[in-house]
Amino acid sequence: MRYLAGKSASGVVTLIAVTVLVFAAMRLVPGTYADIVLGPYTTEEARAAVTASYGLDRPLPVQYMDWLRHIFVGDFGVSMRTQVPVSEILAERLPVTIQLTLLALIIMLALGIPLAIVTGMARGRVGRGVGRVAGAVGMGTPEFVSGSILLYLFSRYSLGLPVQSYVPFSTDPVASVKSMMLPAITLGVFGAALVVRSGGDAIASAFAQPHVTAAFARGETRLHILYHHVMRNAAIPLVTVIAVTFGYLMGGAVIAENLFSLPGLGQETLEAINTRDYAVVECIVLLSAGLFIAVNIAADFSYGLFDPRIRHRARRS
Amino acid sequence: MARTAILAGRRRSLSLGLAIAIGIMALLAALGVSRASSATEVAGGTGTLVWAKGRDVTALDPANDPGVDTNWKMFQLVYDRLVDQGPKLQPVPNVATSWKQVSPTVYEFKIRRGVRFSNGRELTVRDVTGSFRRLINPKNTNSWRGKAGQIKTVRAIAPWTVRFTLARPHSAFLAALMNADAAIIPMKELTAGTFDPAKEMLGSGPFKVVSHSQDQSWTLDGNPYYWRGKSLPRVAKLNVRIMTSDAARLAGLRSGSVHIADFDNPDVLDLLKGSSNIKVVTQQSTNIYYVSLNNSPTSIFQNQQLRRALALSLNRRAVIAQGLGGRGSPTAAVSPSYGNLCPAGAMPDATQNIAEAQRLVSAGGATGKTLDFIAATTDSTYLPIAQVVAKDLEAIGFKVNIQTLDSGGWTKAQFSGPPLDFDLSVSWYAGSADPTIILGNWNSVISPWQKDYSQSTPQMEAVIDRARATPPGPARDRAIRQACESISRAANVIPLVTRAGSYVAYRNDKIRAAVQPLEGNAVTLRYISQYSVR
Repeated sequence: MRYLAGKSASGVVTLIAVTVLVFAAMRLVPGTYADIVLGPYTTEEARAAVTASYGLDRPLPVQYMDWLRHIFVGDFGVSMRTQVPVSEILAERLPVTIQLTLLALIIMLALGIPLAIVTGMARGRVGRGVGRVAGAVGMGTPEFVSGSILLYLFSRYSLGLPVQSYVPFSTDPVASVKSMMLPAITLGVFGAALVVRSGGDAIASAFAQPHVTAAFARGETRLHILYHHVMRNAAIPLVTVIAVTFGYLMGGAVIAENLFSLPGLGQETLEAINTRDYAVVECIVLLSAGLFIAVNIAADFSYGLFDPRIRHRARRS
Repeated sequence: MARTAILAGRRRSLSLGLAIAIGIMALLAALGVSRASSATEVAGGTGTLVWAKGRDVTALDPANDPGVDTNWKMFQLVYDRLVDQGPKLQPVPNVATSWKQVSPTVYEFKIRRGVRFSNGRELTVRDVTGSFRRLINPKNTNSWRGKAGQIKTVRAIAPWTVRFTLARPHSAFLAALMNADAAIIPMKELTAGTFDPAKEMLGSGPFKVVSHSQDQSWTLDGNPYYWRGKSLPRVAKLNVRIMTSDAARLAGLRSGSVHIADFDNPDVLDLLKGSSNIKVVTQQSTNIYYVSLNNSPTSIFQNQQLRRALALSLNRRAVIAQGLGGRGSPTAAVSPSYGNLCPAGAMPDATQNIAEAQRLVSAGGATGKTLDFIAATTDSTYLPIAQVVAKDLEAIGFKVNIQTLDSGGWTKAQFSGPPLDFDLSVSWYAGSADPTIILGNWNSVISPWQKDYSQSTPQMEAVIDRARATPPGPARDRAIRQACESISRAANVIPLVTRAGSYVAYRNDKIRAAVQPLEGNAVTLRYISQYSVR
């Protein structure tokens, strides 16, 4: 419990730091909401009127504290651009991004773990070398490149997956999953490559442990050894990679959603930044940071499930 | 016994885990090899046209439109204007069946009977007068007022006749009425509080808005009361999908999930080569690119000789060849689309002369100075143009630092001063449907937003005013030519090359469309109500 309290407290401190950072960053970006909405062909008086109408002419500390106070009571504000409450925007957009992130996570695990096992179990240099090269290529290819390639191939040739045809999950779950496969693959490939690299090394290292050698000496099968002695030891670095990659997936969603025209939080963030829609950007960044912190706390706790030594050490302390 | 049970349990977990993994992979595989999804779920006789648009609106109210073409394209779908733009940019009847110029400053319009808003109410003269009074009300911010000249009064002089009285003659008044901002909105509903033009659109145009998700999509149905007849619009539904990425719009076209899309980027012509079912049209326009120089008191470009040096350094042919893929032509302030009013090559300092430019830079003590050249990211052509111009400037002794800025950053740097944070900037002006409208951009009274960085001379403003006030004919043509020369000589906002209206690509196997070859008011798909789905 003390451990949980400590982690939660540090999470709250991190979130407060995030609020300061995102608030300051948005105000430091050149150009204001008035510049966007009124455009160049206007007067200074009109800009001042728009700025004042949203309270953006008040001192920054006052604006910050006001925003924080509202956040604490669950009021995320209203989008200046659309006049829609930010909570409604989140309710509409968040499910799309969660669906995309989960699909990407599934692809990442479904591709990454079997390949990590194959790479980790490969005895020869060639086998490991191939795994490492594949991992490096996957990690070194930016998602706008892999996404653009997929976009071109699947729009030019009929390869079985739809392009630019988003279907909401509530309308048709199967069609929805299909419509998200390409952006999910775009995102998932990087994570899969990371899992192959880190997981392959962790599995290879676990195979070199004395107790694994002893298990081989006892005549246990490779599959049995893999499951009972290797995977548990390799699980912790894998979980760490997955937790860290979760943050990457949320960030990468901005590019994937834009490229594949998905109405998720990533695209909303991009538009909100471009239009200096402060309340929307600040709320989405805060939410993403909160999710990232939560996933990492969950990952910390999961270490105890895989390794009893961590569990017992936590109990003793 | 206990150990056996644990092992059995673990085996079961392993089996379950493997089964889930295999299931996921099987699902992925099945999805990957299944038959190509029909990306054209909206086609096939459903009567739905899908248009992929690069940017969403920034304002819904024409009276508060910052003068952005992306807004005009949507206004055109929903709102009507008194007069419309014909194929040769001439005024043609729309809500006004006819008009007459009673005196140099008075125009009268006969309003068409039977025009209905999409809520079924008939449009009246009060809607016309009220809409224009909103447009000219200084409390509302729009750039249309500058185009329209000085409208003194708008009033109904008979049940179906409206009279406009101008403060001074304005030869482009009818052309200004063609602009999408000159929209007629339902004033009765606005006054009653049942319609808020800042939040919704309700007009008598071919389409009515069913739903709008900002930066995502629009769904529009045909206006059941459209006055041009039941056969228009030819599609039952129009879906406008906002796709900011060129790659996304191209992919949508190739896959068939999008029927028509428009682009700024001339590269699409090459990218779509070989696609037999996609037709690409280059729409000509009266628009021009320009380079503006910061001429505020602290800038080195206060020195007219340095501005002249910059003008002399420009290689417009290189801008066209390297920056615009060979598409365009050199221009003065008035586009060659209007004929030979202002021949680009005949303008002062419009021919490249590097030696003279170098001499002027050196004499001005500016050799080696670094210039901040800003290029907005809102148009994919700005950066390549800036790169070509930067090479010219480096050839005459300047150093150039190109900065790409988003719309807000660009506006802040160039317009929200003082202090202004740029030396040079590239952008474009809509050429409208009359050559004198664009000239207003060089007049600080008509275009006050430039006053912080652009200093026009009284002589230049006088000649522009004369061109705008003179009725069409040889005298006006001479005044236009003089205005172009004056602008070229001032070298403050320097006309560069022509800008295509748009590059329009559409699936000719799925829709029937005819894109107008020449456009003056940046309404790319002016005749979209006549497009039909095959």
